[in-house]
Amino acid sequence: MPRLFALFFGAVVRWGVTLVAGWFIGHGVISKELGDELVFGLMLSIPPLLWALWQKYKSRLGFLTALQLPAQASEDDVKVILKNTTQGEKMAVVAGKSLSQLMLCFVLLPLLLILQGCPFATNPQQAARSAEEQFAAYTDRIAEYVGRGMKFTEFLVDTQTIQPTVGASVNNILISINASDKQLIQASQKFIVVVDGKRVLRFTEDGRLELEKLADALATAATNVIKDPALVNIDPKARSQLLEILTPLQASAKSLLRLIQRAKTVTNGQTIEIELSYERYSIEDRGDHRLRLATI
Amino acid sequence: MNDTALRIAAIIAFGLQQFDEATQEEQARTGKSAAELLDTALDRTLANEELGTTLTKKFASLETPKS
Repeated sequence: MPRLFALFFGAVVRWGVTLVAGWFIGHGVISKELGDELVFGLMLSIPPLLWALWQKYKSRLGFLTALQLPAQASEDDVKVILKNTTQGEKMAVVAGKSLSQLMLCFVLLPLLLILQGCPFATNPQQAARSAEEQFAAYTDRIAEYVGRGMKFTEFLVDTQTIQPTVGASVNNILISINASDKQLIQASQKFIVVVDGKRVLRFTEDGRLELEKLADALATAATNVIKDPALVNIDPKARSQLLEILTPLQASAKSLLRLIQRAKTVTNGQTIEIELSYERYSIEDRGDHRLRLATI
Repeated sequence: MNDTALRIAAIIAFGLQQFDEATQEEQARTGKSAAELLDTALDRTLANEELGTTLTKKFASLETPKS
């Protein structure tokens, strides 16, 4: 196997693994916040990947060309030869007799690029959710993360990884986040109406203002937990695992707040499009001062 | 040293278990209406309240030196 093929293969495999992770996000296996971050990360990863492959190719080409020159040849001699060599000849030098394997890399690369363009990171069911459903899902996620945080804190105390006093502090923080979340959920439930026998969540403009205040308090509490001194002195491994739970909690609380803040009153039945995270939504005034958020 | 290694392994195993459960919860949310999601969320917060209270008592008892 040519050395360059091995170098390319390593880079391509690493990238492929990242794509698989993207697939999991796209199918709702990983939460949307984590998905958004990963998609952003993937977009950033393309230029460095191309640059790394190009550098590996150039370095291998220079090395192999130098091997063909007399021992006293300088780097400038290599550059002169490369300047006067066609791209096809250069590739033949690098690939040797296994040009097909090198070509395979060049086929694989655009293929992976095309695959990355596929809507892997968009869960069709999640994208089809209305803004109200997204809102409710965030409150549920926050509650879930709080529960996980509490169980993990208990585990850390049980295994004597942290002192009970530290556990009590973390537990108190989680209790206060839970209280904020509960308040927000109960306030939201007032806006559930029955339409055609189905329970539907429909916010009014007045309700939005009330919910915004509660969501703001929740986001602040979730942000403060990560900065809390109680977490500073915890065993680093335990802290890192705890942050794995608390970080998406914070992200959910912020997304929830953004969702409410971006909802605007629309008059005269006019439809206005708004940008909501990575998805687009429209808001309709239903004529009775009720707002309806829907995906476009 | 062995204790530390075991503890770290236990933390990682616990983390993986949590991740697996979180994955299932995320899938369970798919297809639920906003009203249903709020119902589930409220039930969770109530369960969290209970767990929080239990843990507060448990940690307090562990902090108190036994005479």
